[in-house]
Amino acid sequence: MMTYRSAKSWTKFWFRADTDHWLTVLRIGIGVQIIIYCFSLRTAWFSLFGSYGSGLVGRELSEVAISSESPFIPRLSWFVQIGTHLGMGESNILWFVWMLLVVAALLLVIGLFSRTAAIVVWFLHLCAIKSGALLTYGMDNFVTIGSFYLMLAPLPDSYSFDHRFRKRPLKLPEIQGFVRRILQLHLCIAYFFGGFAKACGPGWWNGDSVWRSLTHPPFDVIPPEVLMRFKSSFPAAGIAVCLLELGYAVFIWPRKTRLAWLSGILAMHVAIGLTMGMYQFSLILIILNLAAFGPGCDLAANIFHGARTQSPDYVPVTEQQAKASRIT
Amino acid sequence: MTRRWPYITAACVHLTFVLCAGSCDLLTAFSKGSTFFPKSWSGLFGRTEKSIEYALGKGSRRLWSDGIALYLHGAGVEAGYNFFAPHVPGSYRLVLELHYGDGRVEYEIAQGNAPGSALPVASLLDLIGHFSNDAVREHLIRLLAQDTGRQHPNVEMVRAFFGAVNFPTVEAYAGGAKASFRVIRSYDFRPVGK
Repeated sequence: MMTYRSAKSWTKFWFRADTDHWLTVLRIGIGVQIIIYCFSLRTAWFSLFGSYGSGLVGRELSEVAISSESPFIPRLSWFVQIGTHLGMGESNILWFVWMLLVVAALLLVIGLFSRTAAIVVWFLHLCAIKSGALLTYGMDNFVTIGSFYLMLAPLPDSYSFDHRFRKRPLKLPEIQGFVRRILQLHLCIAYFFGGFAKACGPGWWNGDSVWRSLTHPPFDVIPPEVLMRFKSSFPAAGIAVCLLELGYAVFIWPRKTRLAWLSGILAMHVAIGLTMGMYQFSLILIILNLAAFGPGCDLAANIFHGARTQSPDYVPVTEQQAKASRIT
Repeated sequence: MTRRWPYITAACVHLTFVLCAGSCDLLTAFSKGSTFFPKSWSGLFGRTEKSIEYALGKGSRRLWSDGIALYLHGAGVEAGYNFFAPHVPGSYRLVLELHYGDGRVEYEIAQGNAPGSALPVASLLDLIGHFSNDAVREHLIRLLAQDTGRQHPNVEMVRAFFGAVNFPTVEAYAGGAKASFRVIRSYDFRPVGK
C-alpha cells in the first residue's frame, strides 16, 4: 500500500496538470532570442563560420574538435558538402542557413508550423554553435537547452497560430506539466552548481570577483572610475549572487518565497546584461526562468498541500476537457 | 499509470546527465585549487572527475560513447555551469604589431573585424590561454593574425604578442595602479603568399 501511494505521489509530481502559458513564453522567447542571435552576427556570420582561409579561424578546426567527441554531432559542413554537390558556393550556403534560421525563428514567434520550426531552429542553431565551438560561450549552451525542450514540448500552445487559426488540438495538461517539470529541475541543478562553485571561492564573499567580473574585458562596459564609487557594495553583491543561486533549488518552490526568489534571479540577470553587456546571455536565462517558474506556475498547492489550488492563475482542466480540446 | 514510467525514467536519465556534466565541471574547478577546500583534496576531486567522465564515455571511441556525446551536445548539457566560479579567470589579449613594407608599424588588438565578433574572439582567446600545447596555441594565433593580415593587404610581417591582462584589485586601483599586460608568447608570421 505504501509503495503504491509512493508511486502515485511520484507520478503526480511529474505529471501535474498545467496550463500551456509557460510554453507560449518559451516558444516566443526562443524565437526572439534566435532572431537577435542571427542579426547580432549578421556581419560576422561568414567570418565566424567560413572555412579555413576565409573565416576567422576556419570552422574545420572546431569541427575537428567536436569530431573527437562524436562524428555524429551536427555541423555546418554537412550543409556545405550537400550544397557543393548542388553547385552552390560556400558563402551562399552559409547565408541560406542564416536565412532559414531567421525564418524558422519567425515562425516560432507567431506559432505557425510550431513543431517543425522548433526542430529546424534547434538543429540549425546546434550546427552553427558546433561549427563555431571554439568561439562559443555560455549563452549558446542555454539557447540549445531551451530549444531542445521546446522541440520536445507538447506544441502547439493555445496562443499559437497553429491552434487559433489552423485549429490544431492542444495536448494533455499532464504532458504540459511533465515537460515543464523537467525544465524546472534542470534550472535548479544549474543554479545550484553555479552557486556552489561561487560559494567555494573566497572572491565572491569579499567582493573581489564582482570587481573582476565588471572589469574583465570584453565585459568592462562600465568605466572602472565609475565602479569605484560603488566598491563598498561589491561584497554584498557577491554574497547576494551566491545566496540567490545556492538557494534557488530550495526557495523557488514554496509559494511564499517563489516570487521573491524569481524576482531576485531576474534582477540579477538584468543587472548582468546592463553592467556587462551580456544581453543575450541575460535574455535566454530570463526566458527560461519565466517559462519554468513564471506566471501560471502553481507549485505549492501540489507539492506541499497535495490538493488543487485556489489561486486565480490555476485553471483546473479535467480529463474530459482535455479530450474535448484534442477532438476540436 | 504504468504508461508514464518510461517518460519518468527518460526524464531521470536526462537529469542524471545534467548532474554528471555539472559535477565534472565543478570537480575540474575544485581540483585546480584556489577554493576553501584543502589542497590535499585536489587529487580526490581529479579522480572523481575522471570516473564520471569514464561513465559518460569520454575519451573512448565506441558507438555508445558517440551516442552519449551526441545526446549531451544535442541537449546542451555537455558543459557545466561554473561561470566565473569559483573565481573570475584572468583575461587574455592578442596584440598584433603590423609591419609594412615602407617601414610603418601599426598596432591592433585582435577582437574580430566584424560587429558581434568581440565576444566570440574573447572566448577563443580564453581557450588559447588554457591550452598547454604550444603548437596548438601558435596555430590558433597564426589564424587570428592571418585574419587581421587579410584586412591589411600591404602588411609584410605580423608580430603577435599573446599575453594576460592583469587588472588590479579595488584597493590597488584606488591607489593608482593600472591594468598591466604580461606577454606569455610572441610569434612572427608572414601573411600567406608573402
